[in-house]
Amino acid sequence: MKKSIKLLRLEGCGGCFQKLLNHPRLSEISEHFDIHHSESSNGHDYLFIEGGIINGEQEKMFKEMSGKSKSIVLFGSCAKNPAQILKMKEARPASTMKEEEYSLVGCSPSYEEITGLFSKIILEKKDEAINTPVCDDCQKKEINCLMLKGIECQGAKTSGNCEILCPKISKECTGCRTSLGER
Amino acid sequence: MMQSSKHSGIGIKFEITSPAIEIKKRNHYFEKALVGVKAVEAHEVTSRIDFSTSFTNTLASQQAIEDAFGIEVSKQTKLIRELMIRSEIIHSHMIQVYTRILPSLDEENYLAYIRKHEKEYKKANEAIQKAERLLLVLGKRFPHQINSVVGGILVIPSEDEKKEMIKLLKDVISQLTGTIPSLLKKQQYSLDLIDNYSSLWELESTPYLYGKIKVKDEEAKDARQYYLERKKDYPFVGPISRMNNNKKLLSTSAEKLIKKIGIKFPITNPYSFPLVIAIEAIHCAERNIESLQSTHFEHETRPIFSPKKSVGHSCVESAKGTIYHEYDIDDKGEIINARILSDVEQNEEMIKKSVTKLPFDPDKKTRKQLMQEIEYLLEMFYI
Repeated sequence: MKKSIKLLRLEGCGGCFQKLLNHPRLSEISEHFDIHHSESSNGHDYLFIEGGIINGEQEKMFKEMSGKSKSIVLFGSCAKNPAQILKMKEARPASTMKEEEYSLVGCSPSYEEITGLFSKIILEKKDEAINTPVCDDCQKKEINCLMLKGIECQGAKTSGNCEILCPKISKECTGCRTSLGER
Repeated sequence: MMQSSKHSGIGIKFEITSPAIEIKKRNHYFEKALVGVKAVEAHEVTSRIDFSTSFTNTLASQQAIEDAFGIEVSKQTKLIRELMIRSEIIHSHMIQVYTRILPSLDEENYLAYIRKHEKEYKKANEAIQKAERLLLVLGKRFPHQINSVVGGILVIPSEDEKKEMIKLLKDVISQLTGTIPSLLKKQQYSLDLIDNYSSLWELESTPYLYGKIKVKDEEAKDARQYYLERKKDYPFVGPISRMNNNKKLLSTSAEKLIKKIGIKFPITNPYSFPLVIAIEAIHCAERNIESLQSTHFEHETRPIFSPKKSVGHSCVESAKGTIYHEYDIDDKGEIINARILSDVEQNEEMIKKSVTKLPFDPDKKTRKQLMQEIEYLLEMFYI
């Protein structure tokens, strides 16, 4: 039987959910999941969250929908750490109200990472924090270290498995994959 | 009361018996978030206002800072930024057509739609990936590009990338042209509502990055002066407004399509939106091809500048409509105040008016049908 997923967009740019809806393998994903993003009063297995909570109305919406869902999934870096990504001090992740079962960082996550998340859910694998920094990704791709050139780069404290698009063009990492080791 | 959480961070509540729409203004959160941020990093914040206008908001921020600090960017920088903005318009319009408009009123939900129209969906998805690739080549990251910075561009397109982009653009034109018949079938009601409209305007081009503001048949005004004077009752902005103002300056294929379909100007019906965005995307693709074919990119040094106490503004056209940014900056180069006027905010009154004028009898429709019709109408405003 298919698992049901409800998409709830809080405060964020909408790019992560759009990435999901544009996924080249969405047809295959939909063989295992029913995905809803319009008004639905039914309960769901998973509540996917994009973005953070910045006002009472969003808090109320999240409370109502998470109450009808078995698990929550933080989808994208904004959901994981909205204050850091949006630079909004008042923004907080939905996980302050209900602990997430899975989280996927990235701004936005790649198609491969999204596939990986669904595969984990299907196989019922536990979620694990990324414990390698962006620096490891730079080293693997033999990109010269920007910090050693005196450039302020957040790679050392940012979750890795990154495509390092920024360092590739000598631009410093700004931490869009959120801090290392946070689950 | 019903509530839709689907639409781009805007909560919409309405009562069926007496429609009253409340459109929340998100910008004030981003204006607050900009305070204390280094001006040269403002785009890191504004890029995340809305993913479908991410590149545009980035460029709006950077241009406002360049205006504030008196930085003159090169012709090549302007050209590459125009390529970026037109590519984002292509991508956003395609997303709107293939993932919102075509599935609406057709099937129960998006997944049901793609299962029913598997072959067409696959082709459309491949074309969206191509549009995404354009943004990745130009911006070096998608969404939230990193290649344009205050003062210029970090990495110019290589010759191979130029050829790749031209091929991608031609494929996108072909896909969109093939979709026009399906969009013609989606034409819903005839609502003669858009009686006042505005957009960026220039005498000899269709501007997205610079220009004056033209309101319908009035004389074009300086953009900053226009926004300082006009605090409310904004004319309608967006692709329909741009096409009304710039109808004589469209690309060859766009012009041919307009003649073939028999579009009459000025366009006043919001339900013309699907055709307009498909044609505008084709126009943008052709302009990008012309630009790429006629330009040889060369490495440039970006101008050196120092932050100073100043005020800067910029006015750009995003996929959704005209956006205005203005920042007050202190002598340390940090933002002390920001004002952002978004596209959707300017269209608030038109959106409310359109919903109240929906020509259906609520008593003859189910709640679900009503919701679908209203949601489809909101798609016409890029919400």
